[in-house]
Amino acid sequence: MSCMCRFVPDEVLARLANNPKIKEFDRAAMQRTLAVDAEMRRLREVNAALTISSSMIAGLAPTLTKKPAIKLYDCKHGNVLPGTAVTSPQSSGDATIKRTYKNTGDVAKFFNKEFGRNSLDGQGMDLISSVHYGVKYNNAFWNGQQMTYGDGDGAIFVDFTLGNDVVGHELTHGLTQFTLQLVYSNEPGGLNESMSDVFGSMFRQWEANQTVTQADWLIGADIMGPSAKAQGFTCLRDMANPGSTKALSPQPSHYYGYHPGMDPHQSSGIPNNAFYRAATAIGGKSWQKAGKIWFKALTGYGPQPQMTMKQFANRTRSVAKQMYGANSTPDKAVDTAWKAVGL
Amino acid sequence: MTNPAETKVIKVEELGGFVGYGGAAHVRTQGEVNLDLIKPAERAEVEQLLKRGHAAQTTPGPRYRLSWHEGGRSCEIEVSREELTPTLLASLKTDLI
Repeated sequence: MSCMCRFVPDEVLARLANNPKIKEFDRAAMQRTLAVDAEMRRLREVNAALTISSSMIAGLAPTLTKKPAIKLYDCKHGNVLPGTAVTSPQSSGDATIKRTYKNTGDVAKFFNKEFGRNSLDGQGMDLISSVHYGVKYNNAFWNGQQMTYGDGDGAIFVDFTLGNDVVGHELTHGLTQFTLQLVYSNEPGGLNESMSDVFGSMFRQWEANQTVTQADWLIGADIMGPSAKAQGFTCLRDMANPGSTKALSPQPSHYYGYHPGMDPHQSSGIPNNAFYRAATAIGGKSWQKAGKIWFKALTGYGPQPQMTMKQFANRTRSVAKQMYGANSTPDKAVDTAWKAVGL
Repeated sequence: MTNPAETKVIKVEELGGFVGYGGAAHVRTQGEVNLDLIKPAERAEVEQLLKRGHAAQTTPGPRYRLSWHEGGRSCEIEVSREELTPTLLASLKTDLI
């Protein structure tokens, strides 16, 4: 259905356009406005029909397109991507390669089974990962085309592929790139990072078949090295308690802590905490209801690169109502969660 | 603009990627390079990089903030990992703070 919102309704314009008390020049202008309105209405209807058709085609696409191939490359501690292709990663003697192959395939399975998404682009695009990047490299990243993982220095961080939430996080950057296309700064940047933490954490819970109460809601807990642990750090970020002193990267958990220009890894604490609150209030397993609401809000409406946190919050509110009904537990949980973080 | 004669010490800091490293994080990956101590060819490459200006970040991948003092003011630019010269790259070290 197309929404037509005009400041002056057509029937009023038509009455005025035929009113002999109004000057001929003004009446002609109103007639032109009516003609433009009619054309706009026609174009909106065409647009709505095309959107419905493309949605139907997209719905069929997963069954018509190929399954994503999982491709592994070994950088052998160099800095050039993608590195050397690994021929049989599933049976590699290198634990990092074998683990990355499995975790990447599992993330693809998670998106497909729980959300009906065929790979990151919805059309089965191949998933490329490079491991052993750099020398003791303390990071992992999505560069717009592929995932890359460092081995960690063994002190502060260990091999980044040991964290299945790391793999889920990086792949979700790809999903965001093909859907909402959030820019990587200010509020959309924080939302972009949060999407990756939310689906990374959900994937970790899905692999362990945990309920929302069994989950620890920590990000990067499995890549903490001995030096970080010795200092009392248990994770990189904590979705349940973003300001935790045990997190290597504490974050604000309320919108009043946000300021323009804030690093996306900081501001993501706000929507991260909203997801945690919504999921735990709904109960069960995070991907069953809260995850479906977030997924639909991320993937179901086309690109909105400059989306603010408030706009995303309102979209999840609207999706929760559509999917589960007004005043349902998810509807109330989502609304309360966002209010609790100031949105 | 950069005046190579004044630019001596470049601070390099990694930002972004899964770790992020920015804001209130208790972990930093950073390094420092004294341009007087590197080979002339590489120094020229670094000075060229400093003249290039700021590049907008378009992906969540890592980027590197280069900062230095020049003419009594602080200057900084952000570059990709591919743009770091071998000495700038080798200077990076991760520490808890």
